Amino acid sequence: MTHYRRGSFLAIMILSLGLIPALGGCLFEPRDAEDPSGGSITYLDQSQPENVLANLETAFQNKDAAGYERQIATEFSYEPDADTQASYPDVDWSTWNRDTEIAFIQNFFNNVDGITANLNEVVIQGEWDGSTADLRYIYAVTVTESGGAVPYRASVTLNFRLDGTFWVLSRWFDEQGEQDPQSQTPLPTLGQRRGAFAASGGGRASG
Amino acid sequence: MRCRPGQGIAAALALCWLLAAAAGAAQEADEDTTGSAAADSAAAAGGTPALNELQRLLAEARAAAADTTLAGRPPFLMRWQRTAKGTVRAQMQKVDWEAGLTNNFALRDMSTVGLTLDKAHEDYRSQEKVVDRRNGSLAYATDSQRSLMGTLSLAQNWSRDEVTNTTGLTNANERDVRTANATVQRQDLGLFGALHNVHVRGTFTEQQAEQLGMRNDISEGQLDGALRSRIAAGDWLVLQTGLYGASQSGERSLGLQTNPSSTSGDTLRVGAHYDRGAWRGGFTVASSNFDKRYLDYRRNANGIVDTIGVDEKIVQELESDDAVTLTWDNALRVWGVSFGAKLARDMSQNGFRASGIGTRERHQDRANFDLGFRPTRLDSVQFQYSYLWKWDDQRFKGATSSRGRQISESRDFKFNWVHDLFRHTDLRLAFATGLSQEIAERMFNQNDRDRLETSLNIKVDTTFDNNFKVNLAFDARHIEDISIRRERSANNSVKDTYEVAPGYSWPVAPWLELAQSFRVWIQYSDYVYSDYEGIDKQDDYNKRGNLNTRVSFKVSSRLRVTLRHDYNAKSNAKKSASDALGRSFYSREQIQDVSKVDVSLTYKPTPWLTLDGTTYQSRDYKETYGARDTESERFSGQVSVGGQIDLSNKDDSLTLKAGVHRFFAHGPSVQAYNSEYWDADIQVSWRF
Repeated sequence: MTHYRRGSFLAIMILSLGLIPALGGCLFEPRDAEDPSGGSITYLDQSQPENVLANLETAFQNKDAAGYERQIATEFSYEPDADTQASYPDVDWSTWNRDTEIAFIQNFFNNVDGITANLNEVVIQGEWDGSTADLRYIYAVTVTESGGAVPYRASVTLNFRLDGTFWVLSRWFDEQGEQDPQSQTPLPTLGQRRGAFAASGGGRASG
Repeated sequence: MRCRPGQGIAAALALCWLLAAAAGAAQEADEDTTGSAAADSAAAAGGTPALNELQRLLAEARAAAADTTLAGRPPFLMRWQRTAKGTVRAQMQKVDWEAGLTNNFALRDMSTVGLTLDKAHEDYRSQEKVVDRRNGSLAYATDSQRSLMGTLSLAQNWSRDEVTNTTGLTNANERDVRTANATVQRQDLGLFGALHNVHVRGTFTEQQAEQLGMRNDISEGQLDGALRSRIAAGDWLVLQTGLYGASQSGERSLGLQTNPSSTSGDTLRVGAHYDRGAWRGGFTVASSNFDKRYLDYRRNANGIVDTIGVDEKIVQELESDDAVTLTWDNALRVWGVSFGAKLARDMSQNGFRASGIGTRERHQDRANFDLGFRPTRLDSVQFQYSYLWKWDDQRFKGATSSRGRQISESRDFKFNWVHDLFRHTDLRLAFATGLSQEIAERMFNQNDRDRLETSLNIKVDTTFDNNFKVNLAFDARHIEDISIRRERSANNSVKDTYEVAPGYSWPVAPWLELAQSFRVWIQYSDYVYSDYEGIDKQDDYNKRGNLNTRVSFKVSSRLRVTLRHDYNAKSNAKKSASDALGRSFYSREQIQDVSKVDVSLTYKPTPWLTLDGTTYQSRDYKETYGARDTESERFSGQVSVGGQIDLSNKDDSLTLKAGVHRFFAHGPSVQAYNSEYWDADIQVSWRF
């Protein structure tokens, strides 16, 4: 019985070893890319939190979901401002994680015409140690869609942490919407977009 | 070309696999099965969830009612428990307090009444924000062990969130929600040869809210019911059906408009579940739909409130949704081999009459297979494969055709092997490869992309008899980020990462513990089109090394001193040249080392009082090379002193927890508000 089991085990091992490269070569083969026609998007080395912030801005402006994904942590959370919570009371914000954020950002970038972003238009404060950093800013983002421009301006707390060699964004907390400096009109946070995404079925399994 | 790294990892896996298999085969005859450490690590830790206060009270009442030593009829009020709680916290970010009073009653017929009142206040330090909350509830429930059960509850939740932004504009959100809820449930009702569970619920909600200076009021009633039936069609087959229906009606006010609102929906679920011999599983089909009518802001094609420049800012919305779900779940266990399979399909269609979203169609197929077995007494292996294919398509309001499917497809293969290498020594190997793809039909956007991630992780853990622990981990990872469209492909990259991390923990003496861990990590980034003209990309590498040391002295049973030293070094470099043999040469761009020394002391003069003190000093040195070399050196540190009280009486009915700490910090990132601050909290709980 022992010999039979050992023999079976070795046979399965050999079979599985043969299967793995085959799987890697067939089922797991990425598609061929088209030769680049545009210039590359330059991201900074994620060696400090400010570079991650600059990279997020770059990803927004280029609508580059892959670049955005690289900047956010595995344990990511999003916390909305009070207005967003009141506008979307049925959204379960406590479960907003990296997967939800990636699904949202893909949907966001795929469905708008253009984005201009200044994530640190005003620096409020910042504190950091060797492995975590909490930075507070006022950001200004304008989205072009459906033939018009939608402005967002808010004070935000961004928490970063060191993951291996690189800094990543671990928490985005929209504190409150801020006024347009010119017109003094109160503007919403980007939480409104996340809320609209979740409320229109973005959180669904097939969303 | 692209397959090579995956094949490299597969080759490494093959080598490890064969070596370990040989070792396993050699040991197999000598090992005692009771000492096998290669047991399936996936076994979840068991545990009974803690009963809540009301359930505990009911259990006490039941025990008292069943006590035959007590003469006469039990009293109407079997148990009455009051719990008062209060907490005050002063932290760096905010100062807050909360207080609550709960009254729970267990009556003679084993019904329960719960009355809860809570109040809370939060005042934020770092922003001008004040939050107040008041909650109250009264709940009655009949005996939960009877087949006919009923509940009745009344609740009020009030909250006000007031925020002043940086320009001094104050915005308040206030919400006052009152709900009344009644349920009736009949379980295991035998009728027509089947068992039925019936559940009926009525709810009334009254909300008065103000947001951005606008009313958002709701006054609605809802009635919903469910009928779940099951019938045994044989020893091994059970058929189940579920029918759920809901209807809601009332009115909603948004801004200056008030309109009727209504919702109606139903769900039908049919399933067959089998359990015969080695086979166990089931099929389920569910269909659900709803129609909702409500007032809403005008929204654009992305669901974003879009009221600029339009006369009709508030619209009467009709939202409808239809969904179908099919699942098949199967588990087969034969000859010690377990095989699991799950197939599922979800389809839904969602439409809005007024919103620019229009109609949206979704489809998702999922398949999961896993195979697990123990080929020898020393080994356990598991293979898993999962596949996901989903898309959504949208026809914007007013559009003549849909925008095209946004497709997501992913495949994942995982292999786990646990091998009992020697006595007290486990070898764990995990191999995973996964490909995820985003495809935009009709080139709706330029974000078509693929991501391939392959990893191999090997860990060896040994625990010696004297609790001396040694571990060694090796990790190799290969990631390809490929954007398909020419507008995005300039950034395509291939990243290879390697990590080695040994460590040990040594209890030298009962009063001395020593632990050290070391980690070296390197990532090479290869940009696929870095040699194309006009592509400003250079291949690079990042290296990082960490050495963490911890020495813990237990000077006496009351005093413990811990010393820590963390040393981190990192560098990154860009590829500068490569020779005819394919060797690459890199030039360093930056090196950095951070050293941190930490001392902490804990003194416990009495069982309820703990005094502690912590201090750390850190040095951050950085050199940057380029057109102009620079170097920087930064020092930072922090001291904290304080204590904690943890007091309770014998039966824990009265507890007091309190802590106070004073922090002093210096360094380049320290600002006035966090250079010196208090952190304090006090928590009192009295159950009587």
